[in-house]
Amino acid sequence: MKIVLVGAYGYTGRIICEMLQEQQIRFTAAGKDEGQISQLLACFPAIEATKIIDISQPEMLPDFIAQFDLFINCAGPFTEESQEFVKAVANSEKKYYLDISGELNYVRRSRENYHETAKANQTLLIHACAFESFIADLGYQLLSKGMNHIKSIKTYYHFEKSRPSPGTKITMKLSALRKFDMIKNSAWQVISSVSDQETVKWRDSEPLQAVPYPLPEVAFFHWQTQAEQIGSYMLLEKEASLFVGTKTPNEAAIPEQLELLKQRKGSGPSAEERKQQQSTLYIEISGEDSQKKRLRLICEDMYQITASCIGLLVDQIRAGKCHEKGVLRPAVCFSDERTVLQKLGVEVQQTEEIGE
Amino acid sequence: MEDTWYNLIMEEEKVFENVRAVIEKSIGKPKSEIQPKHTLFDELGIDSIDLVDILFELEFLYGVELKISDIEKKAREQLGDTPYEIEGYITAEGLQVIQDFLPELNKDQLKEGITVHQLVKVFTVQSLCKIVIFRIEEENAKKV
Repeated sequence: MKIVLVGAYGYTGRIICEMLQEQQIRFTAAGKDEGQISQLLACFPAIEATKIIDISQPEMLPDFIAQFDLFINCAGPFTEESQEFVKAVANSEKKYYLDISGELNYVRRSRENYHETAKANQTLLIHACAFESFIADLGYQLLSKGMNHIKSIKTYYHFEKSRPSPGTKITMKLSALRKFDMIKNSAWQVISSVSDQETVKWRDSEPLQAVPYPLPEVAFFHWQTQAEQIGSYMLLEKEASLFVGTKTPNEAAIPEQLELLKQRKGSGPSAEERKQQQSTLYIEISGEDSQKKRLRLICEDMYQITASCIGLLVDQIRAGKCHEKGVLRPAVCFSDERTVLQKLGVEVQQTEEIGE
Repeated sequence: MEDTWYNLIMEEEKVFENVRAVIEKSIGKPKSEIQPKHTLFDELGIDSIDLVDILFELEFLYGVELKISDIEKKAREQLGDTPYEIEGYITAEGLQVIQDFLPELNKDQLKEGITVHQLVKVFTVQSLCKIVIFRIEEENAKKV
C-alpha cells in the first residue's frame, strides 16, 4: 500500500513522521515547500520519496492521487486548504483518506457532498482522526452502549497546561470569524458563542462556563442518532468567558486574516512541554427516560495522541479491517473502544449515572 | 530599600515587555500600540481564544499557572472574613482592595454597583502584568 503524508513538515505532521518511522512504515512526504520537505528526508529514513504539491490546486491533483493508495492529510486549515483535495479523492476509486481536521463545517460539508460518490467508488474518507473528535467518538460509542432514544449529546473540553501548536492556534482564531451550526431540535441551527453558553458543574469541581466551540464530533453524532441536541463546548472560567464575542463572524475577512496569522506563526510545544499537557474531555448523554450518563476522559500529550490515532487507523486499513466506505467517522473502524482508548493513553476515569 | 524598589520597577518593566510581546504575537497589533493603560477587552479587542492563547504563552514563559480571576482570589484572601462580593456585586471593602492593587483602573468604572464580571472587562495590560507578578511572587513564596 503506497502511503503519502501531506503537510509532513508541519507541527503535527512531524510527530506523525516519527510515529510512522517507529512503526517501520515506509511513506512519501509531501507538501508545498520544497526546502522543508527535503529537510525531512535527512531526519526520517522511513521516507521513501518526496513530492511537492499544493493540494488546493485542482489541476495538480489527478496525477498526484493516482500514485498513492492511502492519504494522510495534515494540511490545515482544512476549510481553506483541503476542500479540492477531498473532492478529488472522493471521485477516485479504491482510495483511503485520513485527516486531522478539527473543523466542524468542513467535515459536515464533506459528508453532505461526497459520501455517496465515495461509497460508489469504494473509497473511504475519515476526517478528524485527531485528539479531540476521535476520542469523543470512541467515548460516545462506549457510553451509549445499551442506551436507546438518546435525546442529547454534549462534549466539554477543559484544557490546562495545553499550549497549542501553531496550526491549532490558527484554526481556533479563525473559528471566531466563522458562523457555525450545531444540532438543536433535531436540526442544524446557527449557534451563538455568547447566548448559547451554559454553566456546568461536575461533581468535584467549581462551576465552569461552557462556551460553544464547533468540533467535528457534532457531525459524527448526528450521522448516527436522532438526538434533539448535540453540541461541543470549551470549558472556561467565568471571567475568561466574558471575553467571548469580541469578534463578529466575518467569513470574507478569513483569507486576509489567515495570511496575517501565518506570518505570526510561532513554535509549538516542545516534546518535554507536551508531556506536561493536561486536558479533560467530559461526554454527557441523556435519554428519553431522563437517564443521564457522563464519562470523563483524561488526556496528556494531545499531539502524540493525534499521531497515535492516525497510527491505529493506518494499521486497521492495512489489515483490511475498515470495510465500510464513504465519508465516515473514525470510531466506525473499531469495536473495542476501551482497548483503543487505552492504546491511545487516554484514561477513562469516571462514569456517573444520574437519574433525574 | 531603594534597591528593592528599583528591582521591583525593573521586574515590572520586564514583565510588561514580555506581556506586550505575547499580546502582539497573539492579536497582531504592533507592540508600539500596546500600552499599559489599554483595556484588554474594549481597547485591544482581545477575545476569549486570544486570552486563552496569551495566558498559555505567559504560563509557558514564567512556569506558573495564570487565571484572569487571580486578582479576585488575591482580593478575597486579603479581605479574610469580610465579604468581597454580595450576590455578584463587589462590596465597598472589595472595591477598596481592588483599587489599592490596581490603581491604574478607570475610577469612573470602578464604583459601587460594579459586578465581579464587569470588573474583568475594565482590566488593562498593566492589570495582566500584575497578575503575572503576583503569581510569580506567590510561587516563589511557596519555595521559601
